[in-house]
Amino acid sequence: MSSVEKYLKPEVINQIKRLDLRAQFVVRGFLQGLHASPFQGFSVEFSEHRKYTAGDDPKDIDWLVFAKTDKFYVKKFEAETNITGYLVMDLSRSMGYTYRQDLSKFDYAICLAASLCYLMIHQQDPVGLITFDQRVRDSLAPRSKRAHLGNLLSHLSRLQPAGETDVAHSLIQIAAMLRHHSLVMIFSDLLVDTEPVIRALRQLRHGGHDVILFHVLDEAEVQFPFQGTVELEDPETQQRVRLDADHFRRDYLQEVEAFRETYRRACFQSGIDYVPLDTSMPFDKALLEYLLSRQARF
Amino acid sequence: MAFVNLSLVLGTMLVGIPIVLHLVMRQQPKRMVFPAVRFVQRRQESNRRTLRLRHWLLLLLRCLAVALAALALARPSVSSNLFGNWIIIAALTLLVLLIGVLLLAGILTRQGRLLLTSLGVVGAVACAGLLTMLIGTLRQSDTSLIGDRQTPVAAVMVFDSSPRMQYRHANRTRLEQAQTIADSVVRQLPPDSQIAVLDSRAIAPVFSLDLAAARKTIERVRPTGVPRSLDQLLTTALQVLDPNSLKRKEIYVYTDLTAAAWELDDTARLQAQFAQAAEVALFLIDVGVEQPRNVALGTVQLSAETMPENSDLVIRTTVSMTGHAAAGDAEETAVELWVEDYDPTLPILREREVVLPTARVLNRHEVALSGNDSETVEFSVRGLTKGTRHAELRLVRQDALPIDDRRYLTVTVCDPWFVLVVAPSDVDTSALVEAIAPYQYRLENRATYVCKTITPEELVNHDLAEYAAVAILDPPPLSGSSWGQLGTYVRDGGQLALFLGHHAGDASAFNSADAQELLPGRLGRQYRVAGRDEYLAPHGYEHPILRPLRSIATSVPWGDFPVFRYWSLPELANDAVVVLRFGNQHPALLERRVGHGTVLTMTTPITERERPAGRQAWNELAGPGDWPRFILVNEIMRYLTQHDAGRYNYTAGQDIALANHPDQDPSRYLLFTPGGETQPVQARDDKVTISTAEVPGVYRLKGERDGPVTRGFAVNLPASASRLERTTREQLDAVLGADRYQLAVNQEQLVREQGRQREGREFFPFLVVLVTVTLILEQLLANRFYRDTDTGAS
Repeated sequence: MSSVEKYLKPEVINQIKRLDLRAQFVVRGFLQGLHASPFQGFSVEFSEHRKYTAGDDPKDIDWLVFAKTDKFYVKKFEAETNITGYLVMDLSRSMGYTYRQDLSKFDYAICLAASLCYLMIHQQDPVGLITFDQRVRDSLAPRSKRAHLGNLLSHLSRLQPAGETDVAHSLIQIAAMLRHHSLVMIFSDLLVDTEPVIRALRQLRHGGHDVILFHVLDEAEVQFPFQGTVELEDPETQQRVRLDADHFRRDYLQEVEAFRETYRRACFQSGIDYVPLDTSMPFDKALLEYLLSRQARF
Repeated sequence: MAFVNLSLVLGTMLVGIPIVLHLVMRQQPKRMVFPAVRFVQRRQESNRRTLRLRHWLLLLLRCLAVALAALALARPSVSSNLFGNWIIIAALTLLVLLIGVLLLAGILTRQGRLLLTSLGVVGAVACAGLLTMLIGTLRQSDTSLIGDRQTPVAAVMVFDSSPRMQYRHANRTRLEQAQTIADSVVRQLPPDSQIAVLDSRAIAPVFSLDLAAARKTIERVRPTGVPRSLDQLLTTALQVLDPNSLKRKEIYVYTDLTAAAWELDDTARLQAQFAQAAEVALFLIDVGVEQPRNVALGTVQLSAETMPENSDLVIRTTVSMTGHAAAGDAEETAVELWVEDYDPTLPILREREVVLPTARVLNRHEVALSGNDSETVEFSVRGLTKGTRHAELRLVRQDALPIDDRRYLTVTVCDPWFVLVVAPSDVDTSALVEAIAPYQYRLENRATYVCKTITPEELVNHDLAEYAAVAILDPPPLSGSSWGQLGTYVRDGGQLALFLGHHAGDASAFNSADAQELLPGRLGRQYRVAGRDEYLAPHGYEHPILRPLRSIATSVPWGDFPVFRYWSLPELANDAVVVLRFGNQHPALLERRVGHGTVLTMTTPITERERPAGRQAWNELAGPGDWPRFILVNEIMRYLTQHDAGRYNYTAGQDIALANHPDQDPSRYLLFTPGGETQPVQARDDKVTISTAEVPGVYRLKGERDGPVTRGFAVNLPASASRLERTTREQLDAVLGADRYQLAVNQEQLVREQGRQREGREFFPFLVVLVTVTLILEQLLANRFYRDTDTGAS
């Protein structure tokens, strides 16, 4: 493994405290690992010509080509290749959970968000940030300037998971907020009732937005590594459950899988990209998912 | 139920350990924060139920393993006859446990009510069965004796001392072998045991004073010629044991296990008796030989036991072979006839030795036998001189069972019988005389009867006393004095045969008081039969006169000899017996006892010519091929002359009664038994009665009356005494009840069976198997329950 690629691993990136560096390392490591460049579709440079047809703006005609071939060709414009991205962060207390005490779901989500942010700014895509708990808390309007990256990252690094959350309500709010067709990237553990959330997601999608749902769970929540009799307490509702972990594991894993499957199916039906993640997974999966989604749009 | 290590039963309390571990040592849960509790909640309830069930199942198995291990180490045992019951109880317990577990599982996993109810019903039935069985078995079982070898025993040693037990194998008779084993059994019985010895004579025994006395009694057991069946012996043994106060009761039966020893047709009785006496242990010690080999002489058949001098004696017997080599592989042997010389002065006791007449071989028959077949041997003897004569049939070859290699026989040779034939001169007496004393025999002086013929007129003043019988053929009306003379003769023991015919004329002459004293009833008219449809038609063949015809009854051509006329007897005397009837049920031959004598009256003549002059023939009995008449006449005469001839050949065990005429015979005799012993015998009521003739052989009686008088008789074993077929295990089961007895063929096996009976049957091996199964089950279940965990963690 090359020195840069190792930064795709959460445990490695966790040693880097500065979020801007984290994002930089993640993205560099990721780009170096790719063989074919996925950037072609939305490059600001020239990519292809198209025959001029009536109705096209005559100012788009490439006169150099006309000079060589004596035919009219038009070039694509920058505005078509750019996409406005929104990073939507769930601030619920459960997001701050970590079993191994190194990288919480929130940290993972922040790191991922920062990386995406870095990636998009570098492509001159405007990126904004929305945080929510019971309702939308903060929002930074999307910009594509380099300076904006610093704002975003410093804002991200200041975020703290606290309190209860209402994902569905917040998503409906966000759907109402966004004017242009945008790429909405949601980072949440979704540990709430599924039905309202799915409905809200559909509403968001119906608004014409592209949605990528990064479903971030803790490694322990996915693997259930407990042993013997344990008493589990919900950090948000303070509910307690006593059980024998050894015998319960299979049932629990089935439940988690069923939960993820519910979202996967609902998202597939609505054309939403659903990316199930846990805190032990390398970041490239999430990034690749974003890029593939981005590419599919052009 | 008894335990070898009773204290280890307390080990079952260790069952508490897994329970305590389960209840008290339950670990405190680790408390931790976990946001995804919502995934837990939904499945938690069913998970907890399954978990609890698994825990309880494991707990049950562990408790069971501990309890079973403790129980196995305590080594419980039960009496052998209740072993089956305990096995059923154990199976029922397991069933109840299983149903309990299923029920628990059903309740915990909230199964349907129908399933639970049916499970509950089945469980209740099983529980009820278990309880009933347990109470019944506990009530039956007397555990005080199990496991203690030194408890005194009340034992009855039953010896099959039948003649078969003299079968010799490995140079020992079976009885000797039985005695040896019995002796060692007695030696190893616990002190203070009480022993009674019972042999095939079935005399109810008493318990010996001590073991040494018992051993002496066992030594004295001798074979008996009159063996009782083992069924009877066992019944007696049970009766002897019943009042005994000792708790442990045992019966040892020493037998060769031949089928003849048992009454195999009545099996239920003995089985019921043994079922009732459940506390009595029964040991069968088989001293028999698996494949016995024997050549045996069968029952002796004689042409006559009393015979006149010079007549022929025909001796018939069978030689049969048991268990010898395969067919085609014939074995040769010979049967010899030994006849004793006649010497009235012998036997005599000389220097404490019995001197017997010398016996000589008179004849010899070679016999070749193969496989399990038999052959008839016939000897004919002539010229035996007067007196009681003893003879013996001997097999030349000795074999393993000597008792049936000799057969004894005794006949009495006497003067020929004098018969007075009274007939009118126109009656052909040869029809009678030639039938009973043929010309040829008369010439050779060996006819059974000596006949004198007179006319009815000569009868008056004729001395009848010297005649054994008087036959009056077709009598004319007799004078009153003649009837009186005949009446006196018959009352004094004379025998009279009357064959009525046409000479009788007027019936009234025969209905006089004198005549009616002898005749069987008033004569009516002459009964005429039209056609040839009436003939002699014997109905039953019980009368001695008809007995020889019984075996050929259906093939006697009575119909060829029609009867046309006979005297009817409308009134029969009270004591008249009809021996033979015509087809229309009218009497043809009648018997009447008068004083000491007998009168036989036939209502139609036997001497009728085929075509008598001037009248119609009365019958065609003397027609061509008249062998039935020949036999009838001979049997009538035999019946009249020899009816009081004694029997001289008996089967062992029969009561022996020899006629003893006080005016001819001595009243005191000395009896010489075949064993060489002597004992005085007194004649009573004109009879010499002996009831102790059990040993086969020739018994001789010697008395004094105007010189020495010797008489005697022969005793043989029944042919069944040498039947050596063995009983099968199924037959034994049927007689005694399966599992009711222990069978041993030698001492070691007997000791083992005794141990099993006294110490009961141990559950140890079963319990160990159960413990193993339980542990394996526990391991399997535990592995299965926790395997999910391992795979999940990995």
